[in-house]
Amino acid sequence: MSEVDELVDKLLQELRRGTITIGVLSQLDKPQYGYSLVSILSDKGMHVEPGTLYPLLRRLEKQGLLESKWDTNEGRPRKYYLLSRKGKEVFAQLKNEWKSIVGNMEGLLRESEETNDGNG
Amino acid sequence: MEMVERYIYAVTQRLPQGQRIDIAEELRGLIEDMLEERNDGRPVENTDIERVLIELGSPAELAEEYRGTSRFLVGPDLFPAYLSVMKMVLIITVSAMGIIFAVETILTPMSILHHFVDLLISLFVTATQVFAWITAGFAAAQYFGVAPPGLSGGYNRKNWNPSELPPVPDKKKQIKRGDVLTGIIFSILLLVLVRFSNHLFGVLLFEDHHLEATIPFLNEEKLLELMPLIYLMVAIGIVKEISKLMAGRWTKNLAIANLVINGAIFLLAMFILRDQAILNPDFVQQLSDSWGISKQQEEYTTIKTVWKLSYNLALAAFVITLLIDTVTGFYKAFRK
Repeated sequence: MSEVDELVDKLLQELRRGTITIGVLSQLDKPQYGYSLVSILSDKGMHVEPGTLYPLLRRLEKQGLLESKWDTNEGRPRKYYLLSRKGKEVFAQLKNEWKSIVGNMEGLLRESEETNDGNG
Repeated sequence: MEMVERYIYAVTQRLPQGQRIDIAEELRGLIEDMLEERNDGRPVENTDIERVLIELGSPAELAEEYRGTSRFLVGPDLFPAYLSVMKMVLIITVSAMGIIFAVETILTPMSILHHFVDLLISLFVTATQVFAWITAGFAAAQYFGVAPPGLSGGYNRKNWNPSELPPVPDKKKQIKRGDVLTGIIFSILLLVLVRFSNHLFGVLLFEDHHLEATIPFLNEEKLLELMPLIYLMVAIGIVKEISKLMAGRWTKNLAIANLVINGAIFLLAMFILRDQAILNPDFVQQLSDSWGISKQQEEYTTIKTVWKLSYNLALAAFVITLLIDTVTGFYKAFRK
């Protein structure tokens, strides 16, 4: 891997880290267990390692954003997570913040492209 | 599936007791889900398990994700202070033991080997103790998060205020670590001298390079009585040095504290020396006897005069030293 690729990889990882939380919160209107969430997110283009997602779910639960329940009816016991009331509130605010970030970023990137086009 | 259990054990072992069972259960389910999906009905083999576990990451890494924070015995905030305290205390204890070794060797040079073995043993025991207790103290401060701001770099990490930034040290006001160390070691040296005073603190009479007898300056009986006060005085002196070290530079408050402590030392010393009872009352007689001088001779009067003069000079030197120390503190604190 070239140095540029390595750097891009590292920066991309940092970039993704923050988006995972919003991604997870967006999918927990209905109860999901960890691995089903991995599949759902992956189907929608967000690849999360289980080793990252499971601890994250637990942290969000500890912060009071998620509620959890063990389901032992099926073949193997699974822990289902669901947005709590506080979680819904936090997600709604995060969503707005995210939209404004996207808007700002688009503006910034458009500008830089225009400048580059003008120069080059 | 044994490897799965080994993996789960390796992860949960690194987690707080209360979360272990829950996380173990969840991980077991996850690994089974992953195996099921990857194999699509094919029987599970060891290589499949290995692949899944490698994908999940090393147990230490996964456990760290679960804990959310790194764990320290002594964290990066406290570590510099930990190192410097450790260095200082070790230097002081090693010098104190060196002093005691030297004193014992002067007193009984024949058993130097014995003293040396003693020195090595107590060096080892004390160094271990010092290391353990300082580490325990800092580890406790780390664990409970109660480190005084002075130790952890001077200000609160989250709510820091620019006005709390420590000033760039002014070379002229700075308190040098070496000076503080010298002060403490000197106090200990003085204490050892006084403690062994009937052998050391007096006129040493040598015969063939061999300590024959000592005519002590101090009255052994009275000294034993006053020893607690002397310990107190040395302790106050050491507290003074340590507070100088913690302040790091001369300030108005430190100069005032220095004045108060020096005042206390002065009063204690005056109390210890009152009526000159602590002096050896027979000093002049004993010295004259050992030199074969009788009371009628002129030399006897000379010895007596010199003895009295020496006492007054020593007292004056002590008071002047205290005065200079106090005034220097104020001078350094207030000069620009």
